[in-house]
Amino acid sequence: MKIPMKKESVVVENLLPFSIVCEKCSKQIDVVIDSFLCIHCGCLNPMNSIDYFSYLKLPVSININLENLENNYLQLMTIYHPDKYSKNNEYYNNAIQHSSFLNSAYNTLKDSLLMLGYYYFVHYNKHLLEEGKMLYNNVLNMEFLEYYEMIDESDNTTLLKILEDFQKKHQDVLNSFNAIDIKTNAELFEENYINLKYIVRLIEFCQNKIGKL
Amino acid sequence: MSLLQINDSAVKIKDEQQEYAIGIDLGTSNSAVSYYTNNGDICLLEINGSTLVPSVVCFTENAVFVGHEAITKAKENSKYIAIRSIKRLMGKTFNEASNLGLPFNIKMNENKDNLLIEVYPQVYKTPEEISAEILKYLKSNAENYLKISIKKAVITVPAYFDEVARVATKNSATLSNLEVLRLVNEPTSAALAYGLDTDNDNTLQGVYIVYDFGGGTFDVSILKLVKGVFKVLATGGDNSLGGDDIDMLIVQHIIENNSSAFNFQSIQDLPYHTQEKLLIYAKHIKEFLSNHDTFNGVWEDGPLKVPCTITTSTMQSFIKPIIDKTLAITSNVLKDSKILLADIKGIILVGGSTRIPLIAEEIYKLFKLQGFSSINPDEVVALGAGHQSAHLMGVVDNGLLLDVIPLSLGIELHGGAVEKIIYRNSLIPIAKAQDFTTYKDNQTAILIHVVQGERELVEHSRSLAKFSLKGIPPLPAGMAKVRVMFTVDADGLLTVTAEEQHTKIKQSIEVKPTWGLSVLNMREMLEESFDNAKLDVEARLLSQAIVEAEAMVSITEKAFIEHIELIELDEKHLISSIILEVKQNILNKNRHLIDSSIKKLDEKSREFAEKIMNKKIDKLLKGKHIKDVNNIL
Repeated sequence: MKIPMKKESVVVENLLPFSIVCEKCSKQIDVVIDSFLCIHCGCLNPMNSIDYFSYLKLPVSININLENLENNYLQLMTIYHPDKYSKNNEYYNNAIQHSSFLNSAYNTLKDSLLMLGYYYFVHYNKHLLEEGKMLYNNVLNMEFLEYYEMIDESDNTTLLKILEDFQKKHQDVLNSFNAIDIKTNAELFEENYINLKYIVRLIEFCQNKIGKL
Repeated sequence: MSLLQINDSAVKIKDEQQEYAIGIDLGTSNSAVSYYTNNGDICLLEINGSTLVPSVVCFTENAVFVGHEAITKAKENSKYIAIRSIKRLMGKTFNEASNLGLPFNIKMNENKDNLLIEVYPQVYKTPEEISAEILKYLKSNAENYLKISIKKAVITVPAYFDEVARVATKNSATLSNLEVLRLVNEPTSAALAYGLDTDNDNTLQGVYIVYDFGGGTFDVSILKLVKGVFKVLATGGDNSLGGDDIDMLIVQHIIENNSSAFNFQSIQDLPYHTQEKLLIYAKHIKEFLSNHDTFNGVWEDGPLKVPCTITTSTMQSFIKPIIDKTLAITSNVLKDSKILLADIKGIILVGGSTRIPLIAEEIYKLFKLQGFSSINPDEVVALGAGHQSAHLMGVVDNGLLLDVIPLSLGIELHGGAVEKIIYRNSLIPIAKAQDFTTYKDNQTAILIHVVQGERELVEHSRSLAKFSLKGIPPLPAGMAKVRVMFTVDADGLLTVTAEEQHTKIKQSIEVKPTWGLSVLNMREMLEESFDNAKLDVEARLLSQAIVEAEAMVSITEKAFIEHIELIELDEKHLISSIILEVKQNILNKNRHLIDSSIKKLDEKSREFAEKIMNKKIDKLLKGKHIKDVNNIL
């Protein structure tokens, strides 16, 4: 019994086209609108350097629609997963490449910290926090330690309240990224990022503590 | 997706036209086989009027019996032994097996690395060989019924089966002339049986807990079903917790209440055949009490007559701790998956033990969710295996299963810390790279040690493979860049590649999971990792502090020799004494003292370091044009 699946319509606005020439039939295909699977001849083309956003058919933006991300991920996985190819199929190795890349892309974009780091990487072609560069901001560091102690000494009801505050703060910081133009103000972006990183760590710490109690 | 069908099904049908695969649930207490029809329906094979074959093997002088026949045969002659629950011994060492209180004799093989079981007086077999007998039996029955030769199978394993037990299962299949198309985790398989066939209108979409409590293992998985794709979010379990433990507790209860009849012996002291009979009786009581309030009976063994009265509430009182343990594991896995309880759509109950009413009650109490079990919990896993085999053979193309790895993978860092590269519960296939560097000047080789586990230190993790990358160009410490790439394919097979970035020298190894974890180890390691998380962080910080301190000392000592002219004698004495202090603190493994002495060393040697830098810059700039200087800087 075969259940044909509806082809998902993808939001194409703000998307940069990314065309490749199919290895087999030499026709042009757009991998952002369709995929690396050639719509003309069915050849699964090998990986080509492409950013995670475009690969997942999303605009290069920090405002990711998580529902679209999930849908596009699943839709692409049904095309790229090696189980869809038998082991001696000529495209089997390409399928492994694509599905691995897709998993990395998906894992990066669904996590706001990783996604912001990657967003910076796309613009500057280097990692946000270069090796050896100090992560710590002294003011934040002191604040962090104070919160840390506070969380450590709190009971469950207070913890839930604190967690709620942090989650709100987390959202505020996330929102504040929208006001930053990464092309002109990389420092502010970086500062905000470090701030976010602290909050995420405190939330994790808080959740662990609640889990233990 | 519709495109895909046109494109690759042509290829698939061509090269796999002659082949057929079955689905096998190789269970601890019972096994079952499923097959697919031409139009993609999945059916269970009936063998001797039943879909369930007891996983029991009995060896006689000249033949091997499996299933009900094995049970009957074992009653004929006291020389014959009914080998049960062999799955519990898959991949176990002699030492691990000897702690289990087994009802048969075991010994080590000559290499002392493999477990042997006495299946008949003076005849020894490995667990793989015994398990292969069950597979052969299932396979030949399926061949007789379907009238075709079968070469491939999807076999289910507990999600929590470690690499060794998985390899042992694959070996059994090879011994029975079956190629394993895929080892599918049992909870996942059960969910496949529920989902793919019935979810044409996407009404079943959502997140599910699969609670799989079988005869010998407990498994739990959190799965998400979206548009025909199953995504495993997290998985966990316990490899030696099952319905068999409940039977054992009932037997103990009977013996304790009638100690005089059993000569005050404990169960292990009783003769094998008595134990066997008692266990069967206990199983009967357990099943009876699932529908009744009180069991009244007399257990007879020759002249021995033991009256047995057990009420449901008595049984509940001693199985409650077991159920609590399963619920604690379930809660932990749920936490791992980062899914809120409110988002769970349902709990799928799998495995014969879930027939005990108390389990459903306790689940409802804790999760406020009704467990559903509309498919027979004994058959659902085999049905799912049939679905997966039909799917992988290209007969149906209506779903996809996205699985995760059960334990983290990483490599050893200098100093014994573990750098995790792929975290547990990561979706596969996956490829991940990380850069590493050399620790000493002019180091030309680097040892890559691949480990598995959740702990922070190598000594607590399981070693999977070791290989070295040679031919790194001699560079100062920290300059060489080695990219280590971990690749896990859809079958869960790991390949590790190391590549030096300047010379592009490359070395790779396929980690055949023969070094994998032992069954007990896996559980211990995870439990320890939860208990010791804090201790581990401290150990890791210490190991890092030692590495840094050693590097600093070595750089300073080297500078003494190379730039002796730049340092005053008393300055040298002072620095030397601090170095001695650092070394002493390293020996004492006191992280705080190491840190403070290193800080002191850094302060006192700063002037010396600046002199060296100035001298180097002078040397570099001498006679250079200003344009070149800019390039250098």
